[in-house]
Amino acid sequence: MKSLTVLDPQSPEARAIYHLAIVSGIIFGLIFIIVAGMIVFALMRYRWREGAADPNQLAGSKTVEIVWTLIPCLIVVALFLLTWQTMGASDPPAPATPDIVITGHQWWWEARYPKSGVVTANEIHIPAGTPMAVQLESADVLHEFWVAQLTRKMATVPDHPNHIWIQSDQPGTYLGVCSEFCGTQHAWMHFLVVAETPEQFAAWEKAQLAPAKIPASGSAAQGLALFQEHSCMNCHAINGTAAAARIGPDLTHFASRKILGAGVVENTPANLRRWLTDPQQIKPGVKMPDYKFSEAQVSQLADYFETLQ
Amino acid sequence: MSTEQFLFSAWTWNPVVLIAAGIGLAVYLFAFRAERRIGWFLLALAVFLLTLVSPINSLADGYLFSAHMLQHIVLLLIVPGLLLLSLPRSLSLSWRPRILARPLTGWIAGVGAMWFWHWPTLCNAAVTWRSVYALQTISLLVLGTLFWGQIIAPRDEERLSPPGAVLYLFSACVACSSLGIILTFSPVTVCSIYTMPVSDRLGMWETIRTGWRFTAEKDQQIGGLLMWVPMCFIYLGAIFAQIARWFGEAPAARPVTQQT
Amino acid sequence: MNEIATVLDRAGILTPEQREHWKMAWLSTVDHKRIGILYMVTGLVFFVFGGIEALLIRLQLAVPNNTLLHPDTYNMVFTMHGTTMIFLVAMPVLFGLANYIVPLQIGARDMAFPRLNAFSFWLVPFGGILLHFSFLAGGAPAVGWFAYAPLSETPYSSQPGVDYWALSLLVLGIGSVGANINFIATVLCSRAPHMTLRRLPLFSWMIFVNAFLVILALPVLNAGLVMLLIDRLLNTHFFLVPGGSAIMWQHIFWAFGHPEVYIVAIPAFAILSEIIPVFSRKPIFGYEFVAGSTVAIAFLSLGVWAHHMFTTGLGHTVDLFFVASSMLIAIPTGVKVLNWSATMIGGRLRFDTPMLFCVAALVQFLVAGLTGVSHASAALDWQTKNSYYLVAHFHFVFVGLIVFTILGALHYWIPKMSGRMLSERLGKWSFWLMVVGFNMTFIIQHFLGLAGMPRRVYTYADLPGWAWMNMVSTIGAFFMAAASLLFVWNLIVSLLHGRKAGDNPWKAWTLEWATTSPPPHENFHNLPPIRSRRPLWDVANPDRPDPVVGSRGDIDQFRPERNKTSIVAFIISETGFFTVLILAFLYYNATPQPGPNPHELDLFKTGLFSVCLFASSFTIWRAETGLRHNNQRRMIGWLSATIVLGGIFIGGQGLEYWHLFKSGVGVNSNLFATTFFTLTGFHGLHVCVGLIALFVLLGLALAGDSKKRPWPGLDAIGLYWHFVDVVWVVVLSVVYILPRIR
Repeated sequence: MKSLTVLDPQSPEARAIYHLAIVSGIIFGLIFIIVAGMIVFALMRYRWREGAADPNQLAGSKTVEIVWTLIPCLIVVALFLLTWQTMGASDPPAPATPDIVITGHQWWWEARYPKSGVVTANEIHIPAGTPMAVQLESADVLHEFWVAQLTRKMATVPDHPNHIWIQSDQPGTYLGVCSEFCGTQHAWMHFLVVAETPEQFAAWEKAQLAPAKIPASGSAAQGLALFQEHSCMNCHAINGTAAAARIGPDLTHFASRKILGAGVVENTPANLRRWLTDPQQIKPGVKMPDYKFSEAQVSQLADYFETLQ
Repeated sequence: MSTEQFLFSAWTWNPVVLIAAGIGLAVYLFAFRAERRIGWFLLALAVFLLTLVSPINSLADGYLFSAHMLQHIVLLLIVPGLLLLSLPRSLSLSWRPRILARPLTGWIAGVGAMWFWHWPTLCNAAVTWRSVYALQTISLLVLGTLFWGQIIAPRDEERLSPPGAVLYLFSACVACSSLGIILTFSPVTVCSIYTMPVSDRLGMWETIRTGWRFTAEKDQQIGGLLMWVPMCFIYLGAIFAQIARWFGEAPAARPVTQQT
Repeated sequence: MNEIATVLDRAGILTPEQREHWKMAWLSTVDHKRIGILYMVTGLVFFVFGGIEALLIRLQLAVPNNTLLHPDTYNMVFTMHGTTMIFLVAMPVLFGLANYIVPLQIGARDMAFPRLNAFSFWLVPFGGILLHFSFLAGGAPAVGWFAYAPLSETPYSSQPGVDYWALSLLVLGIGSVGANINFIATVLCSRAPHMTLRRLPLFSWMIFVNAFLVILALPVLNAGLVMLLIDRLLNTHFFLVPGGSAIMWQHIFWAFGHPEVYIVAIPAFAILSEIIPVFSRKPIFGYEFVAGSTVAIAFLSLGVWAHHMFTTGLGHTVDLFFVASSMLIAIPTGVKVLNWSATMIGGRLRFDTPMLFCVAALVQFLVAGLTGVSHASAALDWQTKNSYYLVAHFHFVFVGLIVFTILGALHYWIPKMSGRMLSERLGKWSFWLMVVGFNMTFIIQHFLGLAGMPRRVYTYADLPGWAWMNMVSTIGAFFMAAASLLFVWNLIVSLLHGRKAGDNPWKAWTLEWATTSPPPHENFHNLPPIRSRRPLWDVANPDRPDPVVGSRGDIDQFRPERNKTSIVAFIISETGFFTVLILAFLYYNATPQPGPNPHELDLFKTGLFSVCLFASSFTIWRAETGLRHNNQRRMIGWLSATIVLGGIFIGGQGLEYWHLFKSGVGVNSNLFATTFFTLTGFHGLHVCVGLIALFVLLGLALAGDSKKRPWPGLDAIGLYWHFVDVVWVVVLSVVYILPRIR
């Protein structure tokens, strides 16, 4: 099952942070036990009893104060050095050119691979075992890119590209989310990171580069016609057709993806039909309007999209 | 030149600095025979020499803005403070002209020294011309002494009162931090001479840019941050000393034995 | 409504004569005790709003994929919850408490400026209503309590909710600054004789230190809000691309926002420092260190804000410096916690309700402090930021520390305010419900955060562990609601039927317990001798009094003139405001941009008008000397000259604006024009306010008022006028001169 936990790191970067978390967790735990122990001791030992006189009016001790100022100083220095080291290990300097450019949109993620030219949405493929340099951008407001098991989180800021590394030790699928509030559908701005063997990754890239097949006839062909007649093309791109807009997700290989609506539902034929019937029903506030398609139209469109493997 | 070579060879044994230090020591020993606080003085001298002789000086001289900033802070805030602490406690500063005894003068001296020398033209000039550089060094020491005189004059009655001193230090801290903030976030134009060396005298450029990964932006950022954060801690330390001084006059906290 | 009068009457808060017109007596009051109570009642009313919003949030999140609230509604609810709890609950209640207690503790008759006090208070309900009016005006803000740009900008939040949010925060900010200028003036100028600054009870000391933090931090927010409003209403782009910077808003907001945390935490520390010693029957351990660490925290808190921005991408260099400075705050905070704990060791601990709340607050704050360090460590923050771990952390501060200490303080001081004790039995019940509910709600959220749940999501998928943890948290929230209801019930019952409290029910040692409960008008009939920090201890134990706290001569006796003091505090505050605007100008104009630029400004003409303004500093100084020599005619003459010179300056600036408008330069032409008009405009506004004040002075002087001695108004306005001049020196160099010589 996919999870988002930070306690199960799957990459050297995430592991560095995890180790720091363990070490500092132990330090915090010890401090808590000592100080809380002192308080509990006082609560048990020095209760007031009926008729007791006021105790010795001790007003302080300079030595004690100096000691318990210096000890935290040392702890802080140690934590600072550990943090410094971990920052270097979990977030090495970025190279001049990124491997993936990821853009946050309200409320989905666009991923471009500048070296190969692949463009996809909400599903980022990486070769396992290879660190990939990611450049983070924003098309509108602030978002935050977070794949807890693989790497640190980092904001996407308009006009201020940020850089992180992402990698996975083993092949696997990891869940990512947007963690900076970005408007109505901030909750459903999930994405998947799919780590594959280098061969699988190369095959995937190759498949993604292929233009979409044009269906010759039947329901799917009618779906394509509908797609081109309506204003779908104003927002979406399908490589191989006239649609080239970059406002909504690129749909060229839509059917190969596992999630729909940035994670709000799984990408199944049934969900796709529900989505086309009224996206606002599934993801209220999403930028895609309700086109009030007839049942037949929905079915034609869905048939077409299912060809976009 | 590699880092190790640099650390060993980049010491600038500037005779003027050494002679000045020697004269200073002689004057101190001659002038104050009783109540010497030679420890403080030697510390001041050591810090002074270390800043102007050690590799930091070579870096500040055309290579790194941040090293220049470090030097600037030490010369303005640390050396004068230590010098004032080395004066005999009974020494009165009442011979100061009235204008120099005013807190506002001290404040303007301390804050002005920061802003004035980071005016782009002057900042570049101090790297280009030795004479401007010498003037800068001397002025920093003098202005720093004026600034700290209000806080750590040898005699208690010639200092600001603790609450006043807190206000004085805090406002100075804010005024310098603002400049630090500007330096941290502005484009690399403040001291443009550091972005390209006039001449790579020590052959260090390669090491700094690739070995130490000091880009021009990072260099100015560190310079600004040094002025913003650690420098504030110097003021903050002084503020705590003032609070300690204030409460310190209260009778020491000692247990009152119970009488039953 | 008359039932309320009955309750107040029986509680002794109303005298029989006041019964008749009790509503007016409260609406028009300038008495610090009543204003204090009004503050707290207002806070309590908004607490109900904020609490209902909290419950709605928890209900929506109780189960995965819940559809109880529409996402937009949910986003409004959490935005309003955060804003309400901070600005309309925590701040008013704490300021109200301070308003009631501080004058009593320092032996003063009232606050230094009773009418300013009333004004500051009335801005709170006004601001609160303004904020909530947004519900009727097209929807509340839905941008989170820190309203990150560009989401809070018109293209992404076109409804007026954000405008209401910004305006109401401006109103509340002005009220807070007013209230805290008043605290500073009260503590400095209105202390009883012999109540030296070093003998101040810790509560008053901390409120005093906190007041400086408020007057420094709030103006920073005000400057940011003004910029946001200009963006939204005049179509500029301070925080919008192209040209503008979303990160700038974060800097401005957190430069206010981090101190803000301490603005509400320091009064909580103050309460702990007051209650723990009383119920341990011992003086605070290390008064000097507790007092000094407060100053340390206040100063440090102003320089650590960038730790809220570790994931914004400022770079490792910046991050590291802020890791260091943020971690440093842990040291003075740790010193405080240890001192409170040490106060209990060796004491005779009495577990009345106030103490119970404070002990729980102490332990919970320990947790909050430790998780706080993990946010100061950038590397850990890179994982935990914006997750429920963070939500848990700051609720441990805001609820675990602040709400608990407020409840402790109310149980402790309400007997003083009403003359009647609260019920111990109900008090203990509400305490235990609260402890259980609070820890149930928020401990689990740490783990929820580590399991990856991001904050501010209106719903979530059924991921491993999320569902049950959220359910536990929701159940806990209802325990807290029950505890709150029980507290209100306790309040009502005890005000009506509570046991009479007497002057000093807790056998405490500070001056508020030396007067009747409730205290009479003007507070004291006579004061006990003040030689130490615990005057009533000395009275009760003449055989073993506290050591006398020495007096450092004139400094401890320092009692400046209150008008001047308040103007100095106001100037400090305004400096913060202008610093932000000036830094913004420098930042946005660091690189030249297309469109109007500084070279189009007419330096010569502006120079001429500036000379007039600078000359007016001289003339007002002459007017002051005239007054000092008791020469009325000379004073009036110079005062009129000042007004004329100030008028010429404003006229000149008006002319300059007119020329710019005529040549097509408007506030939204480009960022130079925006920053230019903002900066010079606000300076001009300050000149105009100064002119109005000068006109009032002139009128008074002509009416012969200035023959009275002392006549402090002129000195105070003079200081303000000099300040406006100094600001113009900076503006002139930065806007007109600097770009020319670069």
